[in-house]
Amino acid sequence: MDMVLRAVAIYLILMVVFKIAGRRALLQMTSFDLILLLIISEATQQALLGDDFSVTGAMLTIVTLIVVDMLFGLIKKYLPGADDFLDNTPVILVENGYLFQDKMKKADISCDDILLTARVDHGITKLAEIKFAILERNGHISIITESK
Amino acid sequence: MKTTPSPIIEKPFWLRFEYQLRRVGFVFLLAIVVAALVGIFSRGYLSQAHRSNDAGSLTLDYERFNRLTSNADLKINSIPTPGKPNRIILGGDFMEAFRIDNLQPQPANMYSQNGKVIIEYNALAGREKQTLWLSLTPMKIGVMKSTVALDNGADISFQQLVYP
Repeated sequence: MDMVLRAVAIYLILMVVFKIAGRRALLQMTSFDLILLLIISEATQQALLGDDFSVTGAMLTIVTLIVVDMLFGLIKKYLPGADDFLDNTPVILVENGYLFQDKMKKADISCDDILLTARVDHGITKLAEIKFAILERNGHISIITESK
Repeated sequence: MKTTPSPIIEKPFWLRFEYQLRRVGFVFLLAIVVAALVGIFSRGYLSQAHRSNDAGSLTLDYERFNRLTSNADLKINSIPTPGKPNRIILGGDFMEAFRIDNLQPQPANMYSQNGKVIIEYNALAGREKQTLWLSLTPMKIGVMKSTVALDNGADISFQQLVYP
């Protein structure tokens, strides 16, 4: 029983913490963000499995995590607003080179973050060349250029 | 700025919600870190506790807050009656709530009786202080009410909260 409860508790704790941390935590803007995620996974591993090294224990943890994830999937599908609450909503940060400062402040995204994504993904260096910069649900910034 | 048809449907309410949640949540997470630093989640200033009996012959140092399956220490100082074996009796929820991983120094005798664990040391010639260190693992979640007594003397009762 405790394996299932541990898995559910860890799932919920991670969900709440990353919800509070915001989409920026998932954006992986710096290499340290990746290291941070690795450290977090290392810290949760012990709490998930405890001192149980059995295959059955690992199976229970995996199955529980997947079932909880599927349950949340169903909630998002059938409960209006749950999707927006749990996964946030996409936000337009730049439109035709114009920065929406208020929305950027609320989403905790800076102009540098947008330009970095524009440079890395599209080789764009000027804000004016961006038709749309959209902060997606998963925290990534989609850049749509003028030419598209 | 020229306007073009929006490629997505924006929901300003949820963006505001996300922003407010991050602000309130940050304070909440910060409070957890501060609470952990002062010992609310074990091992810290607020977690350390000290109890002793009226005569001062038995003192106890323990952690008010413990975490399930995480190490917990207990230090018992006792001054036994000269010429008589020193018997330290741990009762209440102790046997149910904790697993004894190690105890130092090794006792001459150790047994359980009516849900209590009795740790016995050989008699000392003078009125000297003996210290017992117990290394424990909390095995139950919740508030645990334990007692410690010296031979047939009055109990010192102490409470420990074990987090999941």
